[in-house]
Amino acid sequence: MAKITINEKEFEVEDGKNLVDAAEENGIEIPHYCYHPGLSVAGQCRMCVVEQEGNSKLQIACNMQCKDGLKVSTESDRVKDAVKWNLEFHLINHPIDCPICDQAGECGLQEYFMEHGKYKSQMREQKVLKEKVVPLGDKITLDKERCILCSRCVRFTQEVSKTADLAIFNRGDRSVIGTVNNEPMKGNYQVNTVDICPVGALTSTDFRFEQRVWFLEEAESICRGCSTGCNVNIHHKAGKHIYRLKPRYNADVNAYWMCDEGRLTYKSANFDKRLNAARLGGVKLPLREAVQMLAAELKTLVAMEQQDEIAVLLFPTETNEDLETVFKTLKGDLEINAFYSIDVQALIDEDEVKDELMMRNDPYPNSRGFVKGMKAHKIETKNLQSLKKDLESGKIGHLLIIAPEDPQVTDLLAPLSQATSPDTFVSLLTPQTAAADLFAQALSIPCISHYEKKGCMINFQGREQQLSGGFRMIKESLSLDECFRLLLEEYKKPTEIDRRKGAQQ
Amino acid sequence: MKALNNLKAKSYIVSTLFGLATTGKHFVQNLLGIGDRPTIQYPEERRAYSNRFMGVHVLTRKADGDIACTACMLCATNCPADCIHIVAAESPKPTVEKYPAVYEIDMMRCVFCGYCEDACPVDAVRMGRDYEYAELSERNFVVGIEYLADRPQLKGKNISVFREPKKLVTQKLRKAS
Ligand code: SF4
Ligand code: SF4
Ligand code: SF4
Ligand code: SF4
Ligand code: FES
Repeated sequence: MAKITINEKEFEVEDGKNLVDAAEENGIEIPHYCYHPGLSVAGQCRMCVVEQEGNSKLQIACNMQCKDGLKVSTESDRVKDAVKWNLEFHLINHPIDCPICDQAGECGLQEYFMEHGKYKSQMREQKVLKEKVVPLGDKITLDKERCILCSRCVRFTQEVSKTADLAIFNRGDRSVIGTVNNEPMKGNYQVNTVDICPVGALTSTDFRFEQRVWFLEEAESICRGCSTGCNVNIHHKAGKHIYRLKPRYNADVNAYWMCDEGRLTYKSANFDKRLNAARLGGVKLPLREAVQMLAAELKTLVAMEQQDEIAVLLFPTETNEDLETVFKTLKGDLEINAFYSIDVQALIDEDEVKDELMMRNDPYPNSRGFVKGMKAHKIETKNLQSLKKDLESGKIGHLLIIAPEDPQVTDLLAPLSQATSPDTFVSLLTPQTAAADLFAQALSIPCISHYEKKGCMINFQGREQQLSGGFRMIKESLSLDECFRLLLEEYKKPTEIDRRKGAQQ
Repeated sequence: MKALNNLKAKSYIVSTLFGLATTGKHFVQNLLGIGDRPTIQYPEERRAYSNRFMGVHVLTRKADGDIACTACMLCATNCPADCIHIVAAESPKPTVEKYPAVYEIDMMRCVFCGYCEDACPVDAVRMGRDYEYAELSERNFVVGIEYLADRPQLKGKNISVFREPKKLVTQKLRKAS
C-alpha cells in the first residue's frame, strides 16, 4: 500500500498502481485518451497531465506509478490550461461530424470538450481533409479524419490480438491510421478496436447508423457464443430490440475484450427470427392453451403408463436454474427417463482455446452446468444418433424439444425433423421461428432468448456467472422456469375423469 | 302583496325583450357590416398570423435537391411528444454518408412546440406556416418525407441555409443486410 496525495487529499492505494486508475478508483477523473488499462502506456495524447510536487514540468499521469509520498494536483490552473489547449490541439483537424458519427454520445472528445474544452476555438486554418468511410474488412469502418492518433488500436493489434494490422502512416498533420493499402483487418477480435477507440474513427459496420447510443439501455449478461462465457453488456432499446453487445470487464474471464463471433450472437434474438405466438400445426393459439395442451398430452401418456414413450431433447444452453426446474419437473414429477442431448461430456473433454486468445471449442455457454445438473438428478442423456434411431423405429410417442435460438442447434434439429414420423407428437419450447418451421405439425411454445434470461451459467473454468437479462422482447413468451411451473400447475389440475372418479368414491 | 307577486312573475318579459333587441341589433349590424366583428369570413378571409406561428413541419432540401436531413436524430431526441420516427441509412450518393431512409412525424401526437427545429444542426426541419390539416383516417396523420419536403404548398422553396463543409470521399461502403 502506498499513501499518495491528490489535490491535497490523501489516499491509500496499491503500490505501483497506475495513477490514472488509482485516481479513478477514488472518484477523481484524470482525462485521458491513449491510456487504456488493458494496453501498454504510450504517452501519446498528453491529456492526462498533472502537476507533481517537486517537478517543475507537467507530467503525464498515465506514466506514473503510485508510490509513497507522491503528491499531484489535477486541478491547478496550469493543468486546466494545459488540458484545454491540448484538446483544442486535438480538434484542429477534427471534422466534428457528430450528427453522422456513431460515436456521438459516448465520444471522448465530446465528453472532455464539455468539461475542459475551450469553447471559442482560435483555429482559423482550413482543416486537413482525409479519407472517410474506409471499410477495413466487413466489420470495421474507418474515418481517418476523426482519428486523434492515440494509437490504442495499434497497440491492441500488436499486444492483444497479435494481428498487427493497424499502423500510423505519414507524419505531422497528414498522419493517418490504417492498414497497408486499406487491406481488410484480420482475425476474430477486430471489433474490440472499436470499443477502445475513444472517438468515432473506428466504428462497427454492423452497428453503423443503426441507433443513436443515447437511446440504448444496458443489461448485464454472458455471451452465448462459447464456453468461455465472456461478460457482456447488452445494449437494447426499451427491451424491444438488441442493437449490440459490448464486453464487460472481468479480470478473470475476458478482461476488456470479446470475440467478433460472440458479438453477433444477439442477432438471433431479435424480432425477425423470433417465434411470437404459440402455434399448433402452423395455426396460432393462445399461450395458456398451448401449455394446457402440452400438459394434457403428457398426462395422457403418463396415465396410460407410457412414460417410456416420452423423450426429451435439450441442449446445454439453459441457465442452471432453468435446468433445475426442467429436470425436477420432468424427472421428479413426471418420471420421464429418456433424455437426449449432444454429447456434452465429450465437448468438455475436448474443450480448448481455438483461436489462441479466448474463443473455445465448446460452442455452448453452460456445458458444465448441464453436466452438474444431470449428475444431481441422476440423468443420463443419449446422443442424437440414438434419438434419430428411436424416432425412426417409432419408439417415441411424444418428443419434447427445448431448443435455444442458436442457429447451430437448428442445424442439429433438421435431420431429426426428417426422421420424425407423423405418429410422434412433437412439442417445441423455443424462441426461434426456424426451429418451429422445421417441425410443421408440432406444438410450439415461444420462449425467451438467451439474452433475456436471468440466472447462472458455469463457464469453462467452473466459474458460476450471472445473467441479469430481465427484459421481454416478445410479449407472448415464457422463460423455461415459468413454462414448467405453468405446465406442472396444469398437469396437477384434476381432469374431468378424475373429478368423476372422486365423486363416485 | 298579490299584485307585487304578479308583477315579479311577469318581469321576465322585459328581459326577454331586451335580449331580443340585442340579437336584433347584432343581426342588423352583421348584415350590414357595421362596427367591429370578432369573426371573419373564412375561408375567403384569413387571419394574419405572427411570424413566430408554428404550423405543419417542413423538411428542407439542399441546393442540389438532396434531403438536407442527416438523420442525426437530435430532433427525435428533443421531441417531448416522441412523435418523430427516423430510420437512418447509408446514402446511395457517394458524397453523402448518412441520410434518413424514413422520416415520419405523427401529427396527431405533435404538440407543435418547435423543439425539433431548435435541435436540428443543419436547418433540415422547420416549423411551417400551414395549419389547415384534415384527414379522414388517423393513420394519414403520420406523414413522411414526401409530404414534409415536397407538398405543393411549399412551392419548392424549402432550401436549407446550412452549407456543408468540404469532404473527401474516396470509397463508399455497402453494408450487407
Ligand atoms: S468523434 Fe466525437 S467529436 Fe468527432 S464527430 Fe464523432 S462524436 Fe463528434
Ligand atoms: S483510430 Fe481510434 S484508437 Fe486508433 S489511433 Fe485513431 S483515435 Fe486512437
Ligand atoms: S414540434 Fe415539438 S412535438 Fe412536434 S415534432 Fe417537433 S419537437 Fe416533436
Ligand atoms: S431533421 Fe435535423 S435534427 Fe432531425 S434528424 Fe434530420 S438533421 Fe437531425
Ligand atoms: S493518457 Fe496519458 S498521455 Fe495519453
